[in-house]
Amino acid sequence: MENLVKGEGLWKTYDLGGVEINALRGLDITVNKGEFVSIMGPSGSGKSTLMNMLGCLDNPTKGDLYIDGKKISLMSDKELTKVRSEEVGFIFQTFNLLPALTVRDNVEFPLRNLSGEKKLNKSSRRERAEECLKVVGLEHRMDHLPAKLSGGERQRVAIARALVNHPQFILADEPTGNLDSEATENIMNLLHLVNQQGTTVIMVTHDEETTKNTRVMKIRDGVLVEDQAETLKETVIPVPYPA
Amino acid sequence: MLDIAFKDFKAKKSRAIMCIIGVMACVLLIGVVNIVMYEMQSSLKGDLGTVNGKMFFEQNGTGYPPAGSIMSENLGDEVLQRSEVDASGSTKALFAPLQGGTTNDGGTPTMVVGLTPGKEQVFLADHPVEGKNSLVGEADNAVIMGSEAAKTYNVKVGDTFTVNDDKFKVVGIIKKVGKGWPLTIDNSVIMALPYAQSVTNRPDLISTVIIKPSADYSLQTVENNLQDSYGKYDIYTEKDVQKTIDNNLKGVMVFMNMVIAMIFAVSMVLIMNVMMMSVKEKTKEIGTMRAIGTKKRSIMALIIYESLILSLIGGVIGILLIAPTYNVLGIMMGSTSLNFSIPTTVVIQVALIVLVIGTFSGLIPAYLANRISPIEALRYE
Repeated sequence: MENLVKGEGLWKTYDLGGVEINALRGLDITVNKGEFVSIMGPSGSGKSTLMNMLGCLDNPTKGDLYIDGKKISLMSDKELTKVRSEEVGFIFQTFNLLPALTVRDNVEFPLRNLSGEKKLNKSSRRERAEECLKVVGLEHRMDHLPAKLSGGERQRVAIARALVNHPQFILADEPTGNLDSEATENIMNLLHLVNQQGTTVIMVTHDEETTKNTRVMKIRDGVLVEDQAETLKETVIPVPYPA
Repeated sequence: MLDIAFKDFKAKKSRAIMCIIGVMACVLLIGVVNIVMYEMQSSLKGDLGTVNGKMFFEQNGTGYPPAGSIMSENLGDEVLQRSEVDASGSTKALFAPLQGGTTNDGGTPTMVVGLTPGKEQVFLADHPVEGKNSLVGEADNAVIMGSEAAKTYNVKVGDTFTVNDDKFKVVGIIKKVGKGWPLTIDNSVIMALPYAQSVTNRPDLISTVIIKPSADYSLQTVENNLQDSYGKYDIYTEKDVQKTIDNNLKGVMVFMNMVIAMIFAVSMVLIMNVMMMSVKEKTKEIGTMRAIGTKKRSIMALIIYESLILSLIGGVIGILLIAPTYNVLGIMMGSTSLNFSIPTTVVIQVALIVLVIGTFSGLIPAYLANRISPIEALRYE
């Protein structure tokens, strides 16, 4: 399978007032296109640092990181911003929707960041945002503000927002961490559906339940201690979530 | 990003409204102070502009109008007979407040201007007059009124009015000359010199000789010759106009500009404070935007747009309220007219100030927003 993410000997060292803390210690990681990867590990294990690097928000102190063949570790802030706008879809634990914007505007927002040939006019942006909201079953909530939605609905909006720019992969940072069990099941079904349609999903989670049918990677003390590459098995396609 | 800035603005209505009210008050103050300065300048320049090309022979340190100057009529005749003076374009004149008369809206007393009949144009110049512009052949008590004086006494051409048992017959009314505050000419009641002397109880006295130099002499020569001959008297010329303007306006202008600068600073700090709060509150949102690929310059634009929206809304309301506020202030100070409109130059000045306030007060918050690390911002609660 073709590599989407390839990290070799990734180190991240923070200088906290003269004390050096190694969040990652030579971690190697490979994620193939089309995979659903769950990253697990205790607090302080380096999960968030790894997610920040995969999301092009941070550079490794040492080591090389490639995303879709591009060497991220040498990119400038401007180049990283471009990669984030085109290649990555983010889903956060606390949803991080923009409160002043309607659901439709929130989903449309990443499309404003596209430039060059990928740039879309307003009506195309709107159309694509509405398509994504249909995918997550929220077409009837398009004109609502995020404050009027439930947690599960907000996360579905966040998923639509992550999908709207047709990213290479979705980075989900504990996407079900703030949801009840029913909403968790819906969101996981949705993420699997997205994955089955070809989008790679990399998810950080603490909840073993959500790692079913995913390739689980376990991190401890900044290194990869377990990689269940073979876990991804044939599964029944999840049932669609309720509208 | 402008539409997002508008939506952000709408989402934080109460804070935005408070900020807008603050900006509006500042703009209103800046506008009113600007108008006061404008009025002062135009009034003084307009008044002193009547000196243009002429000389006023008067007592030392009197300036214009020379109401405080007194000299004998004989001295005036002597000056008029000098070879340096073009007698046909010069005249004796008496300037004195009309005692017991009504003051105008601004509290300025009406000015009696006594002139030799037939020499009215020396004072009137080419200003258009409704009715007659000369007192020749008219009754002894005939007067040509300035527009403000006519308003003060509520008279029109042909009317007669009485002040302190003195009757005046209006034969002409000068169209308003001053663009801002009324000038001396607008507050004048021009009458024959003998009647002016009688009304003001100054028999055989005049205030000044308005001199047109002879063609054979330069202004400077006339001034020097007169000054040599009459050391106790002053020759007020165009040269003194600028000096008077400078003396009268310098201190006031410095003070007024300081007031404007302080109000300007207050409104800058006000918006900057609001925008700083906004950036602080938006830290997580900014982090999210950066994470999903928003460029730094778009974040900067968002903050500056918000700042501009606040200052422009406040500014426009403020500008619209300048004229009514100025009128209300006028009424509180005794004026009865409500017809003041803002001069275009003041509107442009204030609008520019608003733009500068909006842009610059957003710059520091925008810069700070730009420095927010998306990683830190996403952790921010």
